[in-house]
Amino acid sequence: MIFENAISRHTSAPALLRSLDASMLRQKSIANNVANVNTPGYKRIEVEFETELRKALDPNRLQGARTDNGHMEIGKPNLLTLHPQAYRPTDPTLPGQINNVDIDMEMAKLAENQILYNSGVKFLNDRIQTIRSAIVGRG
Amino acid sequence: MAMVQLFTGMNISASGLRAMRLKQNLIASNIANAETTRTPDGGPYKRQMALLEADAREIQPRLVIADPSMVGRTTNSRHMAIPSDLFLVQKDGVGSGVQVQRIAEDQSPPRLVFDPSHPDANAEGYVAYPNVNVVQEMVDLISTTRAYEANTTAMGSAKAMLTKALELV
Repeated sequence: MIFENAISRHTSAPALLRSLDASMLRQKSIANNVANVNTPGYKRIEVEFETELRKALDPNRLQGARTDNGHMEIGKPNLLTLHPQAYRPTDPTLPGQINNVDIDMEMAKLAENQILYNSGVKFLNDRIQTIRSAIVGRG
Repeated sequence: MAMVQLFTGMNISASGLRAMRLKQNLIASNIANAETTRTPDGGPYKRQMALLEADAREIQPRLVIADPSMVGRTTNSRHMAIPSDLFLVQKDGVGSGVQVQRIAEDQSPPRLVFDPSHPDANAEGYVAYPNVNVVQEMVDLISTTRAYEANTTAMGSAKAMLTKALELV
């Protein structure tokens, strides 16, 4: 609990954790799109997270104060309850029942997502190392 | 349950690999039987194809609406609008890959070749050959192989990410 407080008091750790969750979900959505690349009528799935994260981290954004857990959130999304959203983008250029998976796009997204995940793990590891050295001290 | 969700990415790719391998087997069977005029069911061999279907087991997004009665009403033009999508707490279903719904036979008519000396020739001297177009099968084979490779890459990436997660701490 103390450790959790120490981590989550800072913005970076919860933001990183959410971002890792989003990357993992995005990996699944890309895998699903790739698996269905030859399925007639399949519509690709994408994951939306970064714009919500940006909103949550924006200091200029209005946020309703919550003094009770039952209160609803107004304005800025809460970083701790932020969720990645899977959705099917509507593609106006493709009519009806045509499969809209672009395999090259999916492979590019796959590589990008993996690098994003690795960088998230790296930053989180650094954060943990910092806390660890605060506990252990320099000996 | 947590473990099942952890490996979903790899299972999705595995479903893709399985479907593509089955497609490849059917293509091999079609090419091998491109000249087969006798089958146990009688008549020439019919081209077989896999009907793929998106596995929709998790496709429905989980909409957890905190409290529908809490949607903000604006009774005055100066009230702040509270959109109802504020309450879509969780929406993270991505589907479970692909599955082969069934293996279907191509019902198009057989290719008729005039060869009266053939034992399977009909009364007019025509032999019914399978409705397999070898060139078409080769094209399908290429696209299936590429799709298989793409699934392998996606699976490798899922594996690398899970391994990376183990490096935490």
